Amino acid sequence: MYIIVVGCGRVGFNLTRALLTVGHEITVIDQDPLALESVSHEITAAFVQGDGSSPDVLREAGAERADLVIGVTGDDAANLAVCQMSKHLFSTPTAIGLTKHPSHAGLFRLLGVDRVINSTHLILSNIEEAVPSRAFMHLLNLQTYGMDIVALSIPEDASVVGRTIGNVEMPPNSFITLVVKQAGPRLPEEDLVLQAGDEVIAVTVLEEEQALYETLTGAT
Amino acid sequence: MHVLILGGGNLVRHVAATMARQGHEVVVVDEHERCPYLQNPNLPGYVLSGGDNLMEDMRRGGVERADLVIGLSFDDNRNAMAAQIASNIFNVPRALCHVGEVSKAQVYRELGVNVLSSTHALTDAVLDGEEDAG
Repeated sequence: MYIIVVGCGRVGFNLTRALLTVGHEITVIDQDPLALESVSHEITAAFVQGDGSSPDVLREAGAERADLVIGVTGDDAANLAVCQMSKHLFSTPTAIGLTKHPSHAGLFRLLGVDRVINSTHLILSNIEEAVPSRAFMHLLNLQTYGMDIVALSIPEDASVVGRTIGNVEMPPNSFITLVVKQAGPRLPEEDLVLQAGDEVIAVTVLEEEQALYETLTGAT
Repeated sequence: MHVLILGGGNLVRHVAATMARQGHEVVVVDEHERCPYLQNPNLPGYVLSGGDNLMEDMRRGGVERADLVIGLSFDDNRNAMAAQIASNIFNVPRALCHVGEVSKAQVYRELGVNVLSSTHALTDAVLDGEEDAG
């Protein structure tokens, strides 16, 4: 595949190296000649110095024949522009954009970025997974709808312990979709009783995460 | 009218002051602390200073109730993103952005973004001046 990587900071550099290893042809674009100079000693890709969100620079980098364009600069607005220019001018089959801020992910998708990578979200889920007594974990971010699928473990002192699902007052846009008990997964029927140690899989929205967490794990 | 302006240069300072004098409620969002607008306390309206979380900065600037959003920072990409956040996420009735690079401005126009291009305006002014002189 022919791939254009815009931005050769830590992410761009390591990404390019990985993509080269598996045999792809890569051109790296960065505005900073020093950044390009320093990575050119370590990787043998093609380099173009310039603003990767500029149509002329993208064209110079061969965007017309690129199968994939990836915007991984440290600037969300630049990454979005890279993807929008590639898709619109060069009909790039796949544009991938990196965003630091979770709130921007939905916009990227809405504006035609094929795959949105949210660095904050990735780091958070990784850390959450690594924390041994985790009570709350992000499993999946449904970007199109601005929703999250999360997992919560019910602590022993939670006020919901011993109550049926029908009796738990959930935040308006949050829904329990599955309860994983010791015996295995159960559908969240109205009369299912929640117990300490149950793992609850729920769909929620960003604004309700805190409320959901308090509802299911808060003590009386 | 509630107007949200992105940027911190002289153009922003002038546009913001003019609109505020006309009685509009103006909020300037700028990522730099040293926005010249900030340094003149006599100017009406008020200012927020934020980082690169554009959506959050715009929310703090009241984008939800804005009638007009104008991207006038030095960064074309940031201006275009602000206008698209305004139109696509918050349904702001009118969103404009300055994009200096001509070929980039053309793409945004084709994507339905309301683009102001000083490059075009200045080119026309220069060419007009040439004709008058000639």
